[in-house]
Amino acid sequence: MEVTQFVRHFENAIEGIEPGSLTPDTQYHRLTQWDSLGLLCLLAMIDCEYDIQIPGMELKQCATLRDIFDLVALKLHREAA
Amino acid sequence: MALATLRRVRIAGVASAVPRQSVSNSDYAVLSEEQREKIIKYTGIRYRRWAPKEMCCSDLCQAATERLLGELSWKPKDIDAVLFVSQTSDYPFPATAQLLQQRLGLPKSCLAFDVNLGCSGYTYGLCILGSLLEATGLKRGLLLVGDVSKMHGDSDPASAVLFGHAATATAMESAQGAKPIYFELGSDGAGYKVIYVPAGGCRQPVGAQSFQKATLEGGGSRSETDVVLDAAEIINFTMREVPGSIRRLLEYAGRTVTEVDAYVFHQANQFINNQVARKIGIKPDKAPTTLYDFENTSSASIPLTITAKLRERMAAGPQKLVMSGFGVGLSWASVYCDAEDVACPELLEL
Repeated sequence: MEVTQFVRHFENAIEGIEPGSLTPDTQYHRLTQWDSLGLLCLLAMIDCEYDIQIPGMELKQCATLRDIFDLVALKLHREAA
Repeated sequence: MALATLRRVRIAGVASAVPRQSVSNSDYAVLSEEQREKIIKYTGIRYRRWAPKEMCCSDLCQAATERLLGELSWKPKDIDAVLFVSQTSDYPFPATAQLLQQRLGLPKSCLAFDVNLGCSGYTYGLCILGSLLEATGLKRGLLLVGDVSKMHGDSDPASAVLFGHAATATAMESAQGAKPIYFELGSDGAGYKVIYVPAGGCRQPVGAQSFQKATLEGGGSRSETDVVLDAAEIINFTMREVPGSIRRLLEYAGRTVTEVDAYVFHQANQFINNQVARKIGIKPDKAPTTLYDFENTSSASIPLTITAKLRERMAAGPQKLVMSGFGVGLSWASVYCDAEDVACPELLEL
């Protein structure tokens, strides 16, 4: 599981984002394309790609795409343990 | 999770009724035009049927029932039980089922009671009424479900663009040799605040302050008598519970995903329903939708979709159906049945 792949998934999930335009340090909530529907698309992407659910409140604590990736990785690690 | 089977009961008919009046999400003034079109695209909902102030859910149920009884040539005196599943009763008490017993001319010997469920109410109701008929030996019952809720505040975009009004009647009867109907049911009350109305019950009675609107972070406003809807947690709940429910149901029923003719999901919104279809591995044409014209109609959405989208197929021959209701509670129930000779009159508009 790579953070760069996660960023590509994010770009594909959120409408209007140019592929390759984001980095792990992107502050996603500052994107002009980000809104409440974007949150739903992000949750659906995480479920689709990683087969886990992340509570919306936990996602809101994440500032960057790397933070979300780390949260997903942590959840996956806990589920596997 | 609870698994259950009915072996001596069949579904005899389904009828649905909606208000004639329709409102368009394109006219929803709280959002900009761009926001409106984006939400319509994601939810799949453009129009919502909306009842006039004086119309209750029981009025639509009554009309649907009278139409269905006529189609089946059943007499009111032959009905042994009536179950009203709704979260919008005529009065706090008595139960609306008693009112319908009288208004429909059902006999005093008829069992009548209400069940308070929303999105999962239809599939739960099939299990409850079917189990009652099977356990007691009573012959014929009516399952009346739907909602005409005025608690979806116009000023909160999270809920205002999703919901509308409909009610339905389903006839069930005892039948020796009926094909089994299989159920998978569950509950998760830890998520009760994902969809709820804070004020109006014993926990938080309505007071003067209950109607004050508070500004919402994402735009719009809401009072304590309006529905609170956490869309993110609804997505998570649905993904966590519903595909698994359907998979367990199919395994229990001894059926494969591809054998099923149609998957009739609760019409939550198109984005959620597409995710469910993806997770269980079915093509979109296997999951009929009525969202564009009829919005999310709570417990009525499954039978309404049968009326609006499957009645011709039901008339043409037996259909292997999976129905899955999920939402407020949190609560879910999935059903497999072989639908055969099911009377399905045209949609009623009042």
